[in-house]
Amino acid sequence: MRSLPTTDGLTAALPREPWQALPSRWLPLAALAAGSAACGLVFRNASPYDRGLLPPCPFHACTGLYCPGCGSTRALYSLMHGDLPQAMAMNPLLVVALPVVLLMCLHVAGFRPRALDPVVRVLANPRLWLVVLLGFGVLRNLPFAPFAWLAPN
Amino acid sequence: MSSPNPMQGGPMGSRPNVPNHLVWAILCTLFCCLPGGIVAIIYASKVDGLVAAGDVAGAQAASDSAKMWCMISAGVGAVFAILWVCLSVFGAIASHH
Repeated sequence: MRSLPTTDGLTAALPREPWQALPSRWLPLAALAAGSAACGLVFRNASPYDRGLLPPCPFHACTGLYCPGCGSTRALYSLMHGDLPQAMAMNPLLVVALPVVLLMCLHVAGFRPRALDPVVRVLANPRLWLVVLLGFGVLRNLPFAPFAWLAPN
Repeated sequence: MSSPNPMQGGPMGSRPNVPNHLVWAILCTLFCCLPGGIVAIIYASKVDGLVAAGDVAGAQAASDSAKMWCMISAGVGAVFAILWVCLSVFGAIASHH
């Protein structure tokens, strides 16, 4: 634990009780669970493939461009109905990122198997996500062959 | 962008104390409103570098900014979704009559 001095400095700078740290580390996992439950409930009664009840991407509505999250609702709907190829067609990054995000939520919650440490160390780098998300957002707007497959249509 | 350690070698041990809210930022980018989520990830990327450099106050400020932008992003997304659902329900009722 060579970062112990820094840790001491941090606790001094942030006067927090130990019990306050407990709920917040479970929050991302709780949000994922709540989100999955909400998706299950909503997608039983409404489909994002029918224009109407479920909201489209505000960014796409404003700019006409695809954002990294465009097609997420349709991808989740297809995933919930067991149609993986269709989900990949709507938002491949979301399908790939979901298990990764689950892993990161578990890591934040304190579930940290040592075997997964190198993986999490790479995934926990915000720069990686910045490059992947922005790169995906740019590439899926290119109108020709390999990149057009990334667009949700 | 400004921090000098792109490889994230050591500061994993001090992560729990200044959260970078990266998971929230990713979820916001994918499910809410793009610009806010990206801004949150940019602030998240500053946190660990500042902790490693010993700038705890700066790291906490970046952490708070990341959190704020996540909330803005989630708020905009939620307001948009609620408005959309309300309008489409009213629209359905209106066209029914």
